Amino acid sequence: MSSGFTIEEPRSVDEALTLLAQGDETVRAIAGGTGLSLLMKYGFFEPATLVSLRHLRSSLADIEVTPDGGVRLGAMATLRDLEDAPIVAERLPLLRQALGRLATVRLRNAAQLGGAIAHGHPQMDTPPVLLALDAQVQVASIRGARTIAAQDMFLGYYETAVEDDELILEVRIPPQGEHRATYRKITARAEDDWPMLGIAALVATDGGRISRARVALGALTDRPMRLPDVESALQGSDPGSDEVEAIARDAAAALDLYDKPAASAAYQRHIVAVHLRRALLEILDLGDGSSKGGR
Amino acid sequence: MPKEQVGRSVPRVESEAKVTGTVEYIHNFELPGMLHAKLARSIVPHARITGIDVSAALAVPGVRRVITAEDVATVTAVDYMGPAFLDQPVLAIDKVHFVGEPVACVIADTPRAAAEAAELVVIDYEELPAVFDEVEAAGPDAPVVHDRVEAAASFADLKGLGDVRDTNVALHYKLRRGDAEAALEDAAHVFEHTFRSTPNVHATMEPFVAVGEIGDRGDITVHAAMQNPSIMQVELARLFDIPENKIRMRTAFLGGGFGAKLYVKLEPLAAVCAMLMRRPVRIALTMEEQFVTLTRHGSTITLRTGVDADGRILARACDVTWNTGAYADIGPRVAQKSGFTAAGPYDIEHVSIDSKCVYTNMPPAGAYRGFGIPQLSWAYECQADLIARELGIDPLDFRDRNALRNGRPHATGTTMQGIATEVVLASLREQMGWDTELEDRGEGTIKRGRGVGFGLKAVITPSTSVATVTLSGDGSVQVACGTTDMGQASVSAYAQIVAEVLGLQTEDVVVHHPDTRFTTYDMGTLGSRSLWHNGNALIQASNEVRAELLASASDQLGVDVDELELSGGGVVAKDGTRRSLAEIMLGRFGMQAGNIIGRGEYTPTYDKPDPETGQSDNVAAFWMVGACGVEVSVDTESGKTTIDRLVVIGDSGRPINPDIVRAQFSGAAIMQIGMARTEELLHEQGQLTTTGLAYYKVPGILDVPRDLESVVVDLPLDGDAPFGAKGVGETGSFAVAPAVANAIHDAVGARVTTLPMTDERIWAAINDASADRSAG
Ligand SMILES: Cc1cc2nc3c(=O)[nH]c(=O)nc-3n(C[C@H](O)[C@H](O)[C@H](O)COP(=O)(O)OP(=O)(O)OC[C@H]3O[C@@H](n4cnc5c(N)ncnc54)[C@H](O)[C@@H]3O)c2cc1C
Repeated sequence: MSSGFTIEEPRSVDEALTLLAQGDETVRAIAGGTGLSLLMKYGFFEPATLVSLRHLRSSLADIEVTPDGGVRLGAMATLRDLEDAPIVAERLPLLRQALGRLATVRLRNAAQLGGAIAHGHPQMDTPPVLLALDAQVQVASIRGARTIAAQDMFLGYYETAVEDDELILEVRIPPQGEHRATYRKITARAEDDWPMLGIAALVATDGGRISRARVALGALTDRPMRLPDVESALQGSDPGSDEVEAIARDAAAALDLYDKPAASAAYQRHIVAVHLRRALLEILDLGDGSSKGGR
Repeated sequence: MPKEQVGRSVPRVESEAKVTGTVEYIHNFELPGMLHAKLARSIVPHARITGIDVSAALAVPGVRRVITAEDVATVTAVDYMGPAFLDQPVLAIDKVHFVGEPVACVIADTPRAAAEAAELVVIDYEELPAVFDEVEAAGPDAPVVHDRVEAAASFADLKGLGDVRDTNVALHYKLRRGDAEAALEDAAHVFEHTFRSTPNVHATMEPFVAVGEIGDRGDITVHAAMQNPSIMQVELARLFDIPENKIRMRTAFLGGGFGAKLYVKLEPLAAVCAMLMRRPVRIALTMEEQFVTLTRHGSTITLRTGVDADGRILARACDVTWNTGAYADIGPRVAQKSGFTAAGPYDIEHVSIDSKCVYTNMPPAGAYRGFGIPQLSWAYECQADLIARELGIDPLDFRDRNALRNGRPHATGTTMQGIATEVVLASLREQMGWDTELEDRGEGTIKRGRGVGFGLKAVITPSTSVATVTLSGDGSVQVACGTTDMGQASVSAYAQIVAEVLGLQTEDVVVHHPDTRFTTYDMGTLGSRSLWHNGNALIQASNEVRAELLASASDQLGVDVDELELSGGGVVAKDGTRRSLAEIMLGRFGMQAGNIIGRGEYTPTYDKPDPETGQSDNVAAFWMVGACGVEVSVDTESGKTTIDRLVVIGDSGRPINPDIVRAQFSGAAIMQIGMARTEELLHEQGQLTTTGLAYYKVPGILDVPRDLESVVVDLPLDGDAPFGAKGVGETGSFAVAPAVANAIHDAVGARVTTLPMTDERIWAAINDASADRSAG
């Protein structure tokens, strides 16, 4: 329990970066505050200074198509902004689908994309989606700017590649081309909950064959993971239902899982096999293997 | 003709203030100079306290004082409180009995300083062996939670409790009717099953809160979110040994109660802090702290049931063990008053019930909407289906065949009256379309099924309500009574009742929140009792006002009282002469002045049950029947299960306000989806690991069945029933979990025996069942 903190409200990115560059890890950016306030409530994090990003929103919340046909997402766009953006609906339906079941509208109205990345909680919906989309995260500090691939972003429990003095400014999604993708969110108890498992799967096809496959799982361990074996099994192939089933089963069998209060390792493994198969069948247009419901 | 006030869905008088955010909750209440308190709690389940070091806590800026049991003793006359047993101290004395037990209390200028300091209180323990499971705790070799506790003598229905020494069994309630053991010997079929339920938490949106304040005559005021201010008044008077007229308990609308805000919670501590500080002190708990303050009893229930060749239940022996945690709270009443319905809503000749309230080193368990019935029905309504299946009888037919009906004796020996069992079951049959096969059985990996359950509850008897109705010079009416409106809309229903008697509109009557400085005694807002008990008191009080009004009017108009009526906000004579109430008051007092005050009092008749057999000719003022039917979809591959449809049906007598009754039924049923599907209070060595709403999942809007029907069986009652009505606050809670388990069984042929029925457990049950099938 902290005995108090101050809130700074910088007017420019430079000002914000300067504030963050004090070499003090109790100085932290606060975006929507939805993640941070829980950590503070439980006493896991006791800030000395919170650097509010609210005045930076006007310049860093844009959502636009880049000249190469990719999408640029301002890090201070709220999750609701993203969900409502026609560009996201049109070009990144996978992201939109995932946001639709991310907590509640109330939360999505507050939480920002930058926070959803930097929070680094393992049970989140956006990280596997960003992995599947090959997202590139642009960060800056007074030391300079750099790009972190989503792949390299998530390092563990509340741990990301973003340094204490860095701010996420935007996320770039490369052009996805013609593709099909789906996100499956499985919760262990109430429907509205942090995911017990999130599966983001995406395939681009070229002349009947899969030209690019991306499969990422979230919430199973301390960080989201791509499934390279699954991706390479799919890449260049035109699998039928039986092959898909085998791919999903093998992928689930290879996972290193552990029992949690919300689900045993055995059930997690089983549920990955079932839903990975269904996700792949769905995007490969092979039916989803259940009839209805079956989320 | 003015419209009737009773029996109509009059818009709730409190709704506008609630939705516009202008309602007072004690949580938002502040007093000038108010200090803030936070608790340092035990981190071990059972230990002797060998030392408490408060120096670091005291050093925190803003901290005024840190108090322990020693300081409490300087202002209190007795050490222990509790409605059934005197086992609850204000702050732990010498020993702690569960993780979370309050040990020290920090009083500071701000809540933040108090909370920070509370973490710095150092408590040394000499740990003792602990016991968490109720069955283990009731066994011979278990560690004993309390060396000795005295029985409280507060309640008429709990008289006869003995002191407890060297055992965890606080109360062993027995019921014997006929000869269950002999009948089980002779029965064609005997079924034995054990069912366990895990504890749940009320998770009220407004956590516990109390503000203590000392008056200029040594009087104590506590503003608190509480369901039974009168009982707290009595408790505090006893605690401080001062008369009740110097104790003022005030409450407002509650942000939920559900049984949590009954009996000793924060009120004594707030009063003690205020006495020690001579300043107002507020203590408000966090959501997380709510979890160690009160839970619903976990239970273990074994039913042995003998059934004849025709599917008639001949005998049932019930062995029920309730985990009441470290303070008995109202657990003994749960064990007794709901315990006596453990054999279910059935007509059974031979019944034996052993219902034990057992101490453990878990957080205290007490009242929770349904008061034990949901746990009991989890056993008897799961078993009903298992029996019916085994005997090849349709589950609803089996219930029909065995249901307890009016005119028949209940296991307690009391002849049933005023229950609508047949109509409730017939309505369940109709609503569920039970006589035709379920149309959609699912396809692919989805299997659909349906299930039902029902339950019976007796209202806690005896208990008392006193109410006053006051008419002012302008003809407006106010009601002072002890019912807390915690969302059940008593302020609306009571206004309807008073308005009906006095010929007014509901909106013309203001019902006050309890404030024992001017509101009268009421045993508590609990157990669906208020409408019946206070309803009677209000009718009587209103009739007194009516009689005086008519007498005045008779004098003033020179018309015989028999010729006068109260209607449309005034007095009307047979010849059409009309006077407003204000005019009658003007005539009586000579100016706009004065009051007419009516008083009502109600205590139902009751025959105390035989202590050995539980037999009584009159054990409850009224009984409630509630049923639930559900349809589920189960994905057999993943276990993912959805309650597609839920029908909740209850008997209400004549509903005072049908919309409110429907909302009570559906609200109670939705709440039970938590017990059935989502809520699990896990612990490690008595340390709860799923506290807070992030981990303890209360059903959300997405968990509410798409198709939710609330059906009111509205057969008016006679006898004492106020306007033919009975209580309805818990009826919808009676049988949700077993109906869901039965529907899952119907869908996939697998029985889930552990609560909550998570997707994983359903998946595991499906696997077990198919392993059994391939083995057998
Ligand atoms: C009740 C509840 C339910 C939830 N359910 C879900 C769910 O179902 N699925 C899901 O995915 N998530 C869920 N979450 C988590 C939620 O997604 C995160 O809390 C949210 O995305 C964090 O965003 P924020 O803007 O509120 O971040 P904040 O709380 O403000 O910050 C979080 C962290 O990110 C850092 N940060 C924020 N912005 C930046 C930036 N631009 N650059 C660098 N660092 C930054 C902060 O310093 C902090 O460390 C839930 C949270 C709550 C409270």
